[in-house]
Amino acid sequence: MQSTQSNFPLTSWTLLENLREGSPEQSKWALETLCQAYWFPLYVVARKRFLKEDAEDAVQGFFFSLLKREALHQADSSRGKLRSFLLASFENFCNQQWERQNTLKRGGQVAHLQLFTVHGAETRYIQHAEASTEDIETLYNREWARTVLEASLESLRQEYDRRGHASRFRLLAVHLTETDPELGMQAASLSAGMTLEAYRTALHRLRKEYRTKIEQELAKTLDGAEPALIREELHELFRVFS
Amino acid sequence: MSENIYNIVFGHEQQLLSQLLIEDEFVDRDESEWIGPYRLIRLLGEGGFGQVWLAEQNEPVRREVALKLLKRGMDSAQVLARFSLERQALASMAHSNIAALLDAGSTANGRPYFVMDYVHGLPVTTWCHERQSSVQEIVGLFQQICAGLQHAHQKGIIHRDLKPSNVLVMEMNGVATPKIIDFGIAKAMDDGFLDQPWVTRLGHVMGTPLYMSPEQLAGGLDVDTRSDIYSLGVLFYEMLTGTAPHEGKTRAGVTHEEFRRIVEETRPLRPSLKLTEIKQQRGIVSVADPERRNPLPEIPADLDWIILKALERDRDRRYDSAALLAADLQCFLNAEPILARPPSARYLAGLWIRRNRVFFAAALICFVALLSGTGLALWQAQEARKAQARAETEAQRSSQAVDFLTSMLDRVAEQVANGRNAEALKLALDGSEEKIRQLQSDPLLQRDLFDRVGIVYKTMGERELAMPMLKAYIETTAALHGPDSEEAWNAELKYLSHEMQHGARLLVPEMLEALMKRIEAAGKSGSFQWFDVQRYRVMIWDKLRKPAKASQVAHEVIQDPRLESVEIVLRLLIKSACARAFESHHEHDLADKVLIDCHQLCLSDPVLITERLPWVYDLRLNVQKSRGDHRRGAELARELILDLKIRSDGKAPFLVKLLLRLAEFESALKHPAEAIALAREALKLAEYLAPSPEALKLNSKLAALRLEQIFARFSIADYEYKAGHHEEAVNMSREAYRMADEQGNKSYLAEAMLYLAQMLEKTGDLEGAYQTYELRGQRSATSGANYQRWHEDLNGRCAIRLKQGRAKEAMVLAQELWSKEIQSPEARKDTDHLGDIAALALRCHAALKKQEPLLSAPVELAEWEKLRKGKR
Repeated sequence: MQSTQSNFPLTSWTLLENLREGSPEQSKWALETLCQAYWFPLYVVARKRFLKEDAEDAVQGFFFSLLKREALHQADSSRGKLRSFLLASFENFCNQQWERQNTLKRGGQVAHLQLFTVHGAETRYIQHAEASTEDIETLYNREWARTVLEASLESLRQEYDRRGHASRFRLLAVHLTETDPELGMQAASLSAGMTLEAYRTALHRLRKEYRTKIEQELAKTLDGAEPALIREELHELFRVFS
Repeated sequence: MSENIYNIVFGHEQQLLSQLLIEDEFVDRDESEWIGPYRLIRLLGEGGFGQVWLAEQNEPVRREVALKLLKRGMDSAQVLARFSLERQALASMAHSNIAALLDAGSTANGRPYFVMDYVHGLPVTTWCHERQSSVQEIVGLFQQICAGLQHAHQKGIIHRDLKPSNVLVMEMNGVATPKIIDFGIAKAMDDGFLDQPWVTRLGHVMGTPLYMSPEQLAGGLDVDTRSDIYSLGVLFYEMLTGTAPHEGKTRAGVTHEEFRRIVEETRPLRPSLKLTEIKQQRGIVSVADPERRNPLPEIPADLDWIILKALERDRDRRYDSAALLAADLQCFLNAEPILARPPSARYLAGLWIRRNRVFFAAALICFVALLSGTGLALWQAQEARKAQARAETEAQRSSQAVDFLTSMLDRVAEQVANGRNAEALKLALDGSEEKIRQLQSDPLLQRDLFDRVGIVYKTMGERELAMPMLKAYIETTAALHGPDSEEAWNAELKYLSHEMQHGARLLVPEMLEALMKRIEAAGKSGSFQWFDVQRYRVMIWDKLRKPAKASQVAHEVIQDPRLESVEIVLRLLIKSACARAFESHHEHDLADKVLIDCHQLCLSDPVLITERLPWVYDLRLNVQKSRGDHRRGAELARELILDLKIRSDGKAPFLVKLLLRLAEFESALKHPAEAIALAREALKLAEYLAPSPEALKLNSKLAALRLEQIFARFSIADYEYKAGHHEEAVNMSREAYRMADEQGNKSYLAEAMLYLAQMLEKTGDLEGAYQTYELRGQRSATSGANYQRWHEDLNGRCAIRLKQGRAKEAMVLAQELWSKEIQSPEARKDTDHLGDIAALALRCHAALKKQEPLLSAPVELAEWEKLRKGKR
């Protein structure tokens, strides 16, 4: 499947360039970033076709081939979104590499990539995608979006932790999803020993910080940090859930 | 990634993002103080939609109007276009209970606005509350609202957003007149949003969901006048009781989706009972409350049914029109028969199944789809695509099936353990043994299913259904691994532990001896399994109340030199089992010594420190308690508390329990003041550690602490009662009840209500106790509790009426209780339990006979007497 949305803003290919041509450190960083963002989304894609272990192997093998630059030969021609490109390349990888039984031995060459397997991937898969009838691309995009949301929130949590505000984060974070400000917040503000007003302000601040984190996360795989680009990507995040 | 973060994100992605992005849509109001021909005077309110201003119109007439300024980000041309479609209809509305819509337009910056009559009044619910209106007054007000709404509906206009802030009451010529405002706006906005980017749509339309009809909550576009009828019902409910039907359940910060499910799954409590509940929870006794001019209203049953008919989830079951609703109210006022009726049992049963569809769905997936083969086909289809060896995938498929099913069943078991209704699941699991037996081709799956289903049954308290499953689990394990494999022994031990807890205990010792002999015959004496068998031997004799025998075995085990090399957790379990046996045999010093050993063992292992140490603490305190040495117990508790405080910085959750234990000792030592202080300290700590339901979303381990908060209140109430502080005791019990209600766990709610009822009874408020029992019956009627607890409320009510000398009423209740009990096959088998009920019924009969000697004996009399005799 090729990217059908060629009108998307062009994305940064620096990650891939780093991966292919960078120093060992750069290439390692690029691989880590890619794995963090795309390991599980790709696993879902693989899992829809294969059983658990094979799916894991396929994703591992794919990242390994990225490192070896095998899967990248058509990278320049299909410029579009990195995300779409990776999906297309991965499906391609699965079709060709896999069918030829040219598999990498389990636990062999790819052992050094084990680091990046997402803990509990199979459980997540069962919860998120097992019963879903959505098409592969939607599933993949959703997992990508979830990964962004979770990674950003986690990084924000760690920041609150470092500032010694762990409990504040705990109290506020559950209200991030609140669509109706009247519901529940009164009680929460009381138990936090804050006025409702102060609570709202703190929540507002948390939202702003969260948004910044998400934007930073998105910027990693985008070309630069142009606000318009990022904003569009943020809306894209939402669209994949509707 | 931590579990917490995952829980916040998963399933809420849309809400999260909409909240982040909505900020983009906020724009400050236009600078100018003029909008069209209107001069803005002051801001009356602000909400998700925009702002409401008090404004002044100079031409053609000079008057004050309310101007509603919508937020930017909407296509104002479209909003206004849609609005103009309805404009004529809106303009044709003229009714004294509707605020007229005067004008609409858009500002220079393109923000749409609406202008309407300015109503200087209070939201209708606030009005009723402040004026402490009587039921008659409220019904009068409400009929006027119905009339206004009926007028609008006749003009073809649906309001779609009826809520207290949209129904204002003002005094006109000394008469309270409600006026409905904002007609036509919800629709114009809604439709306008349809073509809008998602942000606007999501952020704006979701107002408070409390007043929305189920079809609105579901997001359907097919909304008609009956949706307004539902909102009217909610409004009426709140006018009478002070709270909306599902308000209590929204405290824990639920999302829109969760709320939709709540409305879908729970029936609102009858308004009259809701009031009783408010009285019981807050301790407002109608007449005595000096704050109130009027007593809290009593809501007649007919009014209950009228409101519930308006609140039907299925709109076909609601009133067809506001006029019909008003007419039914008139019948009520005239004391004529009303249309609304209590729902039939069959209808309720249907709802009940819907309410539990989570279980049905789980069970369905497990036992219909999968076992009948359609589910397996999925795996097979996947498999077909693979060109790999068949045998290998067979094993994989099986292990996946097991993973999937077991995780599903684990979740169901957890739900059941949390007090959710188990009946539906039981129905769905019906006959599953046979279905599993048919799975011979997949013995691994078969075995695991037997295990899981057995455990689910056990969690549900269905021992008789659980044991055959677990037995089948042993058989299949033995078939898979051989009858004398470690796996088979483990399976048998697992089975025996279940038997020991709940089942036919008498047979267990023999089975244990046999298993021990088999293990020894296999040359595995002293193995892990062998020692585990020893542990069970100690435990079973203790459980069978044969302390001498238990102690004898325990002495043998503890002197076995091989014990010291047994794996540490098992060693700890064995030693603590022995200690308990010694305790039962009154060898308290020895028990204490062994437990100190256990204590040391825990300290030597970081995992045991966190997981088992509190438990050992508890056992050590038990020894002192059973020996009756409260002084030593208190000392030890203090010592342990100090130790734990130092190690945990005073924040270990287990401190709560230790403080309560210490309070218990102090109370036994007749130091009520200390006991009260300690229990209060425990409560404070529990509240500090688990302050809010929100906190639990992040750390589910704290859930136990929320429950401890209920128990701590029970303890405080107990000690206060013993200290003679009856009022305090009752108040504490009420708090416990409130707390349990908030937590939404049905079993604890039932527990807390029972506790309050008993406390009220003890302190002499018989009527309050009676009401609480009645309420409890209503609230627990939906949960399939154990038969021994089904009818505690009827039992309680009957006993109270008897105590009050109202023998006739008591007799009626006793007969109802009896007829309900004998309908249950489980209860019928328990002659002891039935005997108690027969005895109560006979007491009622005797009391009644004293009052009315000529009364003929009830038909059940002979049976009651027989049962009572049997009991003696």
